[in-house]
Amino acid sequence: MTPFDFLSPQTLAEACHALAAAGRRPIAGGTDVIPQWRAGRFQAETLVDLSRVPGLSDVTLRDGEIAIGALSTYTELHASPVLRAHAPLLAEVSAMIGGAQTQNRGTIGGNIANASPAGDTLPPLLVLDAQVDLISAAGERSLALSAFLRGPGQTASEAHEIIRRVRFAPLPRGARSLFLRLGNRQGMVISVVSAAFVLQLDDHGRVEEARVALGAVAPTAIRCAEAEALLRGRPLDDDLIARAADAAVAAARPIDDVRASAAYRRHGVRVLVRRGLTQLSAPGGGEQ
Amino acid sequence: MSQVTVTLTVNGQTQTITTDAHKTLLYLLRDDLGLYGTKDGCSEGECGACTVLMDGRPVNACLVLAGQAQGRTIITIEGLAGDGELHPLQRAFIRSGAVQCGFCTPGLVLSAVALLERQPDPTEAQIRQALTGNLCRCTGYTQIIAAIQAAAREVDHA
Repeated sequence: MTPFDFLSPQTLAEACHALAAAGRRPIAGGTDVIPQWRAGRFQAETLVDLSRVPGLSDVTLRDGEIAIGALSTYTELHASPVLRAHAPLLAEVSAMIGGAQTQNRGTIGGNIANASPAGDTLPPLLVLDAQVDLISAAGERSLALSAFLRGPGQTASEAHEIIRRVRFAPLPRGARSLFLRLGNRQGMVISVVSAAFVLQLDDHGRVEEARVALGAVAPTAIRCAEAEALLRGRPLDDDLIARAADAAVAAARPIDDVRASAAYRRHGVRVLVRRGLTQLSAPGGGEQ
Repeated sequence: MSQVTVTLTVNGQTQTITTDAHKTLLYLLRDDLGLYGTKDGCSEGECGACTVLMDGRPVNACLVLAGQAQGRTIITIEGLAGDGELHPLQRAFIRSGAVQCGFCTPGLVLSAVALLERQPDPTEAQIRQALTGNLCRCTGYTQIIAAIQAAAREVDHA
């Protein structure tokens, strides 16, 4: 717990400038940064507080695209009419992360930057095909969330870069979506396995589009390309659901840790994928 | 050691404090202002013993840096009673036997205050949801939930 200095930039340009120097790292809600600093796993000479930077906490739908400012808290995401209408699984997951205290401070940018394999917004953002916009004194760039996440706590961003927003297309009308989580209890829990789904079915119950993502069972949250390919174009019946669950289990690379064994997690993937797809196959299941 | 100077409003009083840059709001309240009602349980945002209201919303004071509290309005457990009269929730906690060791009580009461501001007549499920981030290890949640229900009835009929 080495002491640090504290800077509070008032504009995005000031924040970029502040982070351009060595030994500086951003902080927003602090729900990950402070515990990691206390545990000696987070080093910085100076913390640059992003909370005063204006324009980083809006959720907008413009030109067929949803943009979520990185400083949006879970409380704000849960209340957002745009998300409830066009990406309901992200609004729902936001009410499941920590308790009210965490939801009032924790931000979506922080959940992405922390890059925990168990970060609960990450599977929903992966099935939404989210893009991450970064900004720094050197300029701006954008990359897919799937490319941004590199490993546990590891991302493609440089130390001087700020996550500015995350963007994705709204789910089409009639799309079905769902987030499920397996934990050691209901509240204040780090996921043992999590899963997010987006499905579109045609009038005959055939899968037109399928996206499946898993959390806490690999070095990062992952999409399950094999399960998705298997689902597309086929009628969503029990047999297909069982085969998709098998494919998802095959995509998982879980580890043993304090929360669960790898074997338990593999079993959990099968249960969650089967449960999720079964729920979504019901008439009107998870439909917008 | 680096310092920050912060102006914030605590329990209705606006104050300017210069303190260590790496200090959290929890220790600004305890060490700099002598408000020991806000407890340090886990220091990592799990237990809710340090819950205070910041701009009306419950937050873990152990995860807010002093500098981040600049310009904010904070209510601690000491700010609830007025003129020697306890807040209805404080009275309800006492009457319902919802206080045993008392360590979690300030945080629980403040979470309940925030809940009743938003939802004056909460269901039991809404109460449980609102208390997710507040751990009690001895009283038991049954009396705590009963206290909040009693306070909601009282405020409702006041």
